[in-house]
Amino acid sequence: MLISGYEIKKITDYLWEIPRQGKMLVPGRIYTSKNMLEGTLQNDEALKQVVNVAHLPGIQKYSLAMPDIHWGYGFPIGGVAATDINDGVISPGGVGYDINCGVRLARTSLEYDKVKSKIDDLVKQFFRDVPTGVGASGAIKKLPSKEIKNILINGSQWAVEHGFGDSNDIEYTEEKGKLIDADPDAVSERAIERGQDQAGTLGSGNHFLEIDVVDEIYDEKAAEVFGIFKGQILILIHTGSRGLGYQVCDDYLKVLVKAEKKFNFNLPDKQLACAPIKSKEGQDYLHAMRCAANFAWNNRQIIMHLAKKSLLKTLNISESELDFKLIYDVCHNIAKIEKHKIDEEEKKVCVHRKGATRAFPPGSEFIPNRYKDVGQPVLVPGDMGRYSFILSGTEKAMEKTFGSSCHGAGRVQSRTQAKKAAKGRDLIKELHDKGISIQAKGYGTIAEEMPHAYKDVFDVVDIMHNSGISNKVAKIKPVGVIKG
Amino acid sequence: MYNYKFIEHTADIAVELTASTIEELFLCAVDAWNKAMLDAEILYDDEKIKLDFEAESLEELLVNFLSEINYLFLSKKWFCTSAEDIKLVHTDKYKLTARLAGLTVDNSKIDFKEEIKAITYHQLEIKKVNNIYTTRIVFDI
Repeated sequence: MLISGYEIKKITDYLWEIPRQGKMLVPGRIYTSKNMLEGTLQNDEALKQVVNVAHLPGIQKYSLAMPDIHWGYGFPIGGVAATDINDGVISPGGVGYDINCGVRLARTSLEYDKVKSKIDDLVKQFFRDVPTGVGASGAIKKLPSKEIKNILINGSQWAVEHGFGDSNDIEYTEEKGKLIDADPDAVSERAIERGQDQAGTLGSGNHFLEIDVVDEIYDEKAAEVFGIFKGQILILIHTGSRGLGYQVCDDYLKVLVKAEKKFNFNLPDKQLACAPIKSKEGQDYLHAMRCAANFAWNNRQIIMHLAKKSLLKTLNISESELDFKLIYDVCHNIAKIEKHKIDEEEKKVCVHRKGATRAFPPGSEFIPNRYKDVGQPVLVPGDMGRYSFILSGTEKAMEKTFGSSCHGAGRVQSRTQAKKAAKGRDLIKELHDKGISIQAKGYGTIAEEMPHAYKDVFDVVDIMHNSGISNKVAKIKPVGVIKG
Repeated sequence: MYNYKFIEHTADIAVELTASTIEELFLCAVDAWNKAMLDAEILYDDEKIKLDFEAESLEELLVNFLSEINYLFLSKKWFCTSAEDIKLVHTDKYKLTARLAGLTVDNSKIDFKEEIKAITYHQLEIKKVNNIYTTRIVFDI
């Protein structure tokens, strides 16, 4: 089948391959369906980017893409690539500008039916307590650079030590909220400056804080282990490392664009700028990227704490009545050194997940003990008008995708198209009629983020489930949303 | 009057610029950055800032220049309303000096429609055909 200029070979109904050609070092493999290939991917540059990634020195097995694939900078969004740590490269284009953009899901003991009348008030309170929008700042007092450096080393442990959360939260955060070997000396003063008043802020664009209700459970056992039940209120947070992470990416793109010449790489796209993992440039980026990842975990930890305070205040209940617990926090823009089986041998590789979520299986030593029987939670937000999903990691993900799954729905309409489609409509009322209360900095954001600007996340998740990469556990529906 | 148009882009903001000189192309890029963030026009400024840069290519120079303007807004809350007196020299490297006009803003009082988070290299190529300079810039938002 010819899609977007590439001959695509069917492996299964849900897995398609771009065979090696030209200077590709490995084939490209895309988890998708015939419908998606012929639909959204037909006129998208994303397949070209899958091919481009296959040129990265040291890439192992395949240049992979998850079903929410759409074009990004360098890597496609939804791209996964593992590179050999001895002779492979690291690329900021495989991580993204928003380093450790991710999702945090917390559970409560609340039942929707009993708090339905309070959702409007809750949304207003969240909007007052969690800074959102362009240049959002001031969730907590502006921190001196020395304190920011402590965050860059300690991640969400900093927040917990400073009263923004519970020590149990650490256990339920990927990497326990802290990547080791983070070196603040690799982070520019400018990046630190951008982070000084942004800890605990949501920011703008597609970032959000949602009140969700568990709508449908597919896997009773996993749902019980994750502590979720039908009709339960959950809090979903989507944000990343804010300006600090962007500055780290910007700073190192400058360095690595030059490194491309130095190491004589001839890459098809400047945004794929990279350096050997073992080089000084590669190590410096890794050290700085880990700092930004730690800043993001700390950010989501503080926001979760602010959300807890909003819940307690608005509902006028005690902490024990609320029983606010973190289910899991996952990052979906990251590069990590992990061990994976390649040609029957365990090998250390650098796994780039750009718009892809780690999906480790039952028994993994890297997931909380409580989840050892069912695999880690994989959190897949949809759009603000329909639903999001909780999945679980599988052994097949370890075998086929370097332990990775999808991360969201992916846009199908540009912001301009969405705004045009929203013209003459009252989206706030439409959402309200569906039982969703919303607060945002401006109507423009609501229009740009309208539900049908995104793919139906149901289709994305189904491909992951049917291909065995992750299992559906529950579907959750938004009832309250705040946006930047 | 600068010559540029915003074009369809699924996730971010893309703009195509045309100019008769390289300096005008850079001025045009500043104006596009400004309009991508704000519908209204701020007609006054209270401070001028001088910048100078050097880079190995025009593309790198443009990304670094716009990134600096973006940084001044995101970090210093200083919003560039226009660029003046751009001079560009090519010796062994490309060197740029510019004077920016702008003002310190209060984000809570101005309705910025977007936050440009980064200036990307995606599809960025400055071309000169028949003495007309063109390029495309994608802003990550």
